Amino acid sequence: MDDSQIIDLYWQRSEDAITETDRKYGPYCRKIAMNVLRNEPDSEECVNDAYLGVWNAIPPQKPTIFSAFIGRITRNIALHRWQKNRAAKRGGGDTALLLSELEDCLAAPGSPEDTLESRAIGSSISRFLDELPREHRIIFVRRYWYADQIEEIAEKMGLTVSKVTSVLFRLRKKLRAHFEKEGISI
Amino acid sequence: MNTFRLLEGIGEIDDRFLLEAEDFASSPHRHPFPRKILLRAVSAAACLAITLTGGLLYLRTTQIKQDSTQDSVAEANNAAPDLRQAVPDNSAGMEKQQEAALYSAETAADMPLYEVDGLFYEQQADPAILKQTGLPDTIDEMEVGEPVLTLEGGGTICLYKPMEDAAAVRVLQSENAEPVFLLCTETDSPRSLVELYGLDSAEKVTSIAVRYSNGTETELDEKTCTLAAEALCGIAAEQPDHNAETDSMLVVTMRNGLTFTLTYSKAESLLQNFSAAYPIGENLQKLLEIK
Repeated sequence: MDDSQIIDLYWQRSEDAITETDRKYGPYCRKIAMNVLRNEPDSEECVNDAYLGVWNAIPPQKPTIFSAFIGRITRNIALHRWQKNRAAKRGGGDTALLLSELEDCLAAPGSPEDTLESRAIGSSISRFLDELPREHRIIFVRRYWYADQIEEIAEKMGLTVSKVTSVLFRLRKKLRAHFEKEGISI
Repeated sequence: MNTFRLLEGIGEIDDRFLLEAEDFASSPHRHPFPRKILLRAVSAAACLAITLTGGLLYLRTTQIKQDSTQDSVAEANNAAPDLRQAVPDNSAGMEKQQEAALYSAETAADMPLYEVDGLFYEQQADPAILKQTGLPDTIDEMEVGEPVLTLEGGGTICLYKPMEDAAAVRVLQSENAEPVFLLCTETDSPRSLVELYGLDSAEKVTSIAVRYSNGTETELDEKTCTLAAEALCGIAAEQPDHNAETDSMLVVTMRNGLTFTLTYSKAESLLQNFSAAYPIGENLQKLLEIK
């Protein structure tokens, strides 16, 4: 079933919409949730919450790229679940590692704080990604959006783990410079 | 300062980037072999083919001994272009050399980055930063220690003799240039204070000061310093927690002059640096609370 048909099912309020979503995007959503949480029961619950989120969002929304739409909802739910878990007990999942890596992109302590909505930050990062070579862009997105492990990215791209680590290191530094250039302090 | 907000922000990037990365992930491996290896294999095969063809022709046209054919093969191989410019000391060194070359071969606008055993180094010549780290502005040739890595594009990463056991400090020795300091700015995994700074004994510490957010600094008395240094020696290294709030900084000065800082989060009972979080026990926490 193609995405537009699945979206039509949501608009018709047919429960088959969930079944078809799970059939087509279940593994994709589970991988995103697992990458963030590294916990199967939590990931499963997170995916179910994502389906509910999609059910509540369509209608009125009519996403043009359904995979990105559901992936984004899953990721957001997984991140907030991770944060909740972390508040209860430190550690768990690879998200702590991602956060520590991304520290490089933040301005130095003491910089003026600008409150920016996530969307504004996203737009700025999109502009940053636009200027990167395709390979670097994919490495960045696979690591920080999909939370893929570095070894997995290296294998997929036919690069060494050290090379991917090095590219990510440089990209974080570049992103920091990009934020500074755009006057963004997160 | 909130990395979590940044991670949320990354979640809002344009859909097209997700599609691009999705397409990539669902497609078969683009390079079943890393491009460099493939290139070398192709070059080697081409050289071998040329050598064999030459050797066969030679054998057919002249009645020569088998050992002289082997010589010609060796000669042809020697004449073949070598993709590696520098000669590694051993096979393990060769691997390292190639890795390091990958990092230093980026665009000139980027700061060169070198990796040695999972520690990433950047050149540092800023006198203020060097001073803070307890390093001199210039390096005497006599202070350059054993080489640890030969770089493909020329140059060698060496130990810095006065601080040989501190992996966080290395020297870049290049031809026709003054040696410069390389300071570790990132690691591939959490590293202990022993690995980074050679802090394996309290005797190596001369002073520990606590620097507060208001700029004031208190140096621990001798007894407290020794106790704190002993506690630091055996401390475990974990993944850094950059969401932890920083209450103060710990400035540790070693007998060899090396000075490093650790941030201190009272709520999380953690000391941290760029590489790791070091969970501290109640005793050390009490010592650090002394004003």
